[in-house]
Parts: sequence; C-alpha cells; structure tokens
Amino acid sequence: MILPKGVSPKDFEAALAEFRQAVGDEWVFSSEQDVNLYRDAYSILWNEPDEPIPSAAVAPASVEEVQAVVRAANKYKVPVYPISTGKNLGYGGSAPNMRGTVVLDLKRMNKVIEVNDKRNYCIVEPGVSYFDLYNYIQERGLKVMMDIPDPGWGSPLGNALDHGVGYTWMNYRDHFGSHCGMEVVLPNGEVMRTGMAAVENSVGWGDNKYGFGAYVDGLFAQANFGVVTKMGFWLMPEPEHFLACKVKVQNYEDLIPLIDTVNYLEDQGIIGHPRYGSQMDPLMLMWEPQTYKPTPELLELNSRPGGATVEEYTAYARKHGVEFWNVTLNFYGPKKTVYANWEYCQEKFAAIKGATFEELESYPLPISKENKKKMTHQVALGIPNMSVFSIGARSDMSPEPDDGHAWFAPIVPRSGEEFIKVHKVFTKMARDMNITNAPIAVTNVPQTWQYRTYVALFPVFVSRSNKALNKQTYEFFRAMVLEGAKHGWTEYRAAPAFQDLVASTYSFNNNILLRYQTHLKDAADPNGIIAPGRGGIWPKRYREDKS
Amino acid sequence: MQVPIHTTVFEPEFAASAQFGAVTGRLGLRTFALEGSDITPLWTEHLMALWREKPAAIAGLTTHMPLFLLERFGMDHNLRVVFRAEHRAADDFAVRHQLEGPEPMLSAFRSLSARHDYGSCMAAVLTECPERVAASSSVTLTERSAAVPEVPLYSWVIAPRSVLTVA
Repeated sequence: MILPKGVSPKDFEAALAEFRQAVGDEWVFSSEQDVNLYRDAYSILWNEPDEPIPSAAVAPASVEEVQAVVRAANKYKVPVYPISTGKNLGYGGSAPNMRGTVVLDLKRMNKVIEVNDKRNYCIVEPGVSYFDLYNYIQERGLKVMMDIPDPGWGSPLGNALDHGVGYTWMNYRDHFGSHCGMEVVLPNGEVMRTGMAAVENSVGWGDNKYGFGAYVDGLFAQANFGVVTKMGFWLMPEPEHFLACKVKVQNYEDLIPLIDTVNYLEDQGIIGHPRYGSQMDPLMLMWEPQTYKPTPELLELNSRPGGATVEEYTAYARKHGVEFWNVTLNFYGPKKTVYANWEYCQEKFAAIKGATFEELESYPLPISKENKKKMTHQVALGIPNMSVFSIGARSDMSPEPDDGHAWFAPIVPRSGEEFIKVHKVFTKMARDMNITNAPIAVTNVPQTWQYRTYVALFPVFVSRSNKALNKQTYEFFRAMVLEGAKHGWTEYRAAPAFQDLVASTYSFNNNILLRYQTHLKDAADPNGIIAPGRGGIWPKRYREDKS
Repeated sequence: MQVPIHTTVFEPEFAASAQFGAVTGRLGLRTFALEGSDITPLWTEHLMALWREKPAAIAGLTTHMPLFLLERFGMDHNLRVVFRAEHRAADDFAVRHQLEGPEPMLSAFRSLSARHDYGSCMAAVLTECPERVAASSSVTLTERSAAVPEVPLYSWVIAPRSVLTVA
C-alpha cells in the first residue's frame, strides 16, 4: 500500500474515513485498480520506485464538499492534488508530483454556471470539459466561440491553470490570460473569490479581471496555493466568416522574414493563429498525416539523430517540388474584411522572393454540418475533437507506436534568427547523445499558441517496457532543459518529473522567484497539504525531507 | 445475469474487428464503426449524452488508442474496463490471445476459440460479461486465424464500476 510521505497508516485511514463522510463511500477510491487509473499513463518514470503513484482519490461534488475534504486533509496532514479532468497527457495527466498524494478529482463539479453572449464570457466549474461547454453553447444557439486546445476532453479551468493554450485569436489563445475571476478553496478550507467575483452580489465577475488591490490569481496556476472551484473566461463573439490561407516560402533562411511578417500582421490584429508547417518536419508528419506525407527518402533523413542537414533538406525540397516552410493564416470577421486582409497579407509576403499563396478553406459561420465535417483543423473554430491522438498512433512515420510522450516546450522569442539558433543547439544535442526517439530536426517549426512568444516544441517518446531507453530519454530531457536555459529558453510547462528542474532555471538572483513562492507557500499552507511539489514549490515539511 | 451491453465499437478496416461488428449487429446490439481509430463521433454523437444519463456498458474490438481513450472517458463516469484481451500476431497464420477478466468470459473463449475465428468468438464472449465480478483471471492462448492483425487489436468491456463489487 502506498502512503503519503510522513503520514501514518492510522492517520491515512482516518482521513479517508472523513473523506467518505464528506463525499459518500462511492466517491473515495482506494483500491489498486481504481487508483491505477490516476497514474500518469505517459510517465517517463513508469514502474520506477519514484513514479508518483497516488495513494487514493476523492471526488467531491460541491464547494462545500471540497472544503470538508481540505479540512480533513489538514487535520491529518494528508497531501491532496487537485485535478479538473486530469487529461493533460504529456504534461503529467492526473498524477500528482509526489508519490502517495491523494488525488482530489473535481470531475463531478461539472456545471456551466453562465455563458453570456452579449458581454462574451463564461463561468464554469472544474469538471466541465471543452466538449461540455461547446455543447452548452451550441444547444442554446449562443453566439460565442471558445478557444480550445487539442484534444477537447480537457477542462477549460484545468487547462488554464496549467497555462494551456489554443488556436484562435491573439489573447484568447492564452487560456490563463483570458480568464476573469476565480473562486478558490484555500488550504485552510476557506472560500475566496478574486477580481470582481470578490464583490458581494457581484454583477461583473466575467467582465473585469482585477477589481481592486493585489492580483493574486497567478498563485493558483502551475502552483499549489488552493483548489480552484470556479473560473470566468472571456469568449470571442462568433465571427461571420472564417478563412484559412497558406503562404509558402522556399529557403531555410526565409524563416526570418516569414516570422517578422507574421509578427507584423498578428500584432495589428490582421490575422489569428499563424500555424507554421514544413513538409519535412518529423513532428508535423506525425501530427498532420493528412497534409504531410513522408517518402522513404524523407524517412531516412529524419531517422538520423537530429535529422539531416539544411543542405540535404533543401535538396530534398527542390527534388520533390515542395517548399521549405509554410504558414497557415487564419482570418476571422466579416467576409469582405477577411478577404481584404488576405490580399493585404499577400502584398506583405510578396517581399520574400519565391513566396507563393494558396487559399485553403472559407466558411460562413455558424459553420454548417457538412463544412464542419470537411474542415481540416476544427480547433481553429473552437470545435473540440480527439483527432490529435493520431500522434503516437501507428503510421508510416511510427510503425511501432510508443507508449506515450513528454513534451519539451521551451519558450523562444518570435524571431527567425532565434529559431535557427534553436535548431543548431538541439539537433547537435540529439546527434551528440544519439537520440532517435524524439522528432528533432532543422525542419522543426515554431509553435505559436502563446500570443507574443513561440514554443520550440517536440515530444520525447517513452516506453513502458524499455527502462534503459526511458533513462536515456530522461537524461536527454534534463540536458535539453539546462542547455536551453543557457540560451534563455525555458519551459512554459512540464511534466512533474521535470518541474523542479524547470523551476530551477528561472534562476535570476539565486532563484528568488521560487524562494518567494516557497515563502508564501509556508505562510498560506503551513501543513503543506495542497499539491506538494507542483510548479517546483515544496512545503517546509517536504523540503526538509528532500534535503 | 449478464451486464447488458448498450453499444459495441469496431474498426471496419481490420478484418477481425469488422467481423466482430457484424456479429454483434446480428445479435441485435447497437454498433458503432470508427473511422481511422478516431473516437470523436462516437463520443460527441453517442456516448457523451448516454453516459451523462447513466453509466451504460459498452464493448469493442479495436486498436489500442480507442480503448485507451474510452477507458479514460469511462473513468469520469464511474465506469471501468472489466475485461480486456490483446490479440497479437504470433506468426503469419496464428494469433496469440491474452485475456484478463471474469472467469466465465475466459471459459467461453476457451470453448469457442477452436471453432470460430476471434472476431466472431469475441462477439459471443463479450456479451457474457457477468453482472458481478469478484475477481479477474487471465489466460493466454494461440490459435490459427484467417485474420492475423497487422497491429495488435484489443477486445474489451467497459462497464459500471459497480460490476466490480464483490458478489
């Protein structure tokens, strides 16, 4: 039986008994079969002694039940790890940071409190999924559009609290950035609301983020200062038309003017999410098999650690008549203006020698059933789906499917020069360490979900049966984090196995940022019961244990 | 008593799975064909509403990904995988079956697998899931097959968690 560190079997059983009293027998899970479902299915530490397997799970249905659970956890000093739907595979899933922590599963708190399509916001509970919210909006014919991630089974609240991102327009893609007010059960069991939600008889929860005074919301994302039980989000009014067009450029170095032009257009509000691609990027071949098709020759180039050279990929592109880079631009608005904007974009990109243009998709909104079915990238219209799970599924790119992956996701400035530097650094590391289970190449494209910065994203694949491979991958991941940090590229998000390391790379002034959060943690959660280790923040009782 | 199976799920591009879908259809069960292993239509058009109303049992013979995803969707609605079997090519003409679940289902497989290929065999086995399961057993068998899969296939039953309660 797994127990939380520093908790006696007697106290653990007493805590479970109080949890049962609070939520009902049916909603406390302690059998091995039930608990195993909360393990991180993609864990790089699978079956290792330090895999963070929970000891139990408890699923409250209301704020009052959350309060009762938190109070009992405090009484017996049992750590709890809140999850919303626990679906962020690749970043930790439903597993805690510390082995033995009890998962506080908020799936039963699944009410959409409000969707307002005049002032364009919603307020939801943690167990509401993107599918749920989309259905709620569609069934009522509300004229708002959500920004969603891939895939759609996650929770808007949980995704935002993990700094998750999406695919539509500027600020909406930053899910935490587009939240507006929250309700939190604090470590002592008290309920707090933030922003305008903190006003008694509030009428502006979904409208104004700040209200008055210190803005504390950030303490509840990628951190462990409370259990968020409601959150407001700004929504985009449903536009009249959607247009997707592609710009193709021929040379590796064209990435520099391509990015500069995209920045110029996006920061003016001309385009929505810019989606970069390359016919030769090994990740795009896995991610969009319907668009990007491998040849045996390309598979050979990509099979080398760190992929092939720029010259070899250029020769391949010339031979096969494909561009080196492309970017899909999404336009939202009245039909007249989206086409005018596309015309303007073409004028701007024409400055890149050899640039070509293609209109991909054009739909009046609300989208018809037929158009929805044929749309290639539904998330661009906030339509939740599960098709992204083609990553890791069997294909020409991946004849032996892996058992999961961990995302390496450093933040990189929006600059072609910087991305070329990223290519040099990480492909060299892959070559030096002989890494073939990560799609790393000089054809890797910037990921652009975060407005104002890019992410140099790729997965490292993990295995449930090959521990030696996992160990090598783990060391490679750590080495990449440290090397990236030397260049100023640090992760925006990471699986629990790497969160301490990532937090340590935010190292200005002897890690004052983490030291400050730790100081606050000890004051706000003296028993250290909320999600020990999340975001690299450890409470006093476990810091002492760790040292 | 058996767990009533509300829907069966299959992937027509795999011969054994297609056979499973055809046989469970003939048995009068509602069937759902997946396209390219994508469960989006199954979830949005069927299961989402069904499981919100009640935790009804479903069964399937699919590739790994649909099972992986449906198990996690099921977990949110208090359902569990109560039977699972892996069907993997043993050689060009035989399939190795690894089953884990209630003994009556394993027993049904043992008696049927010599006479029927596993697609139709599993259709019969999965509809024999008992309403109460005190313990799981496991068995591994290798049988000749006309439908040796290119990739491992999985048979499964996802049923209300209460099925696992000791009888």
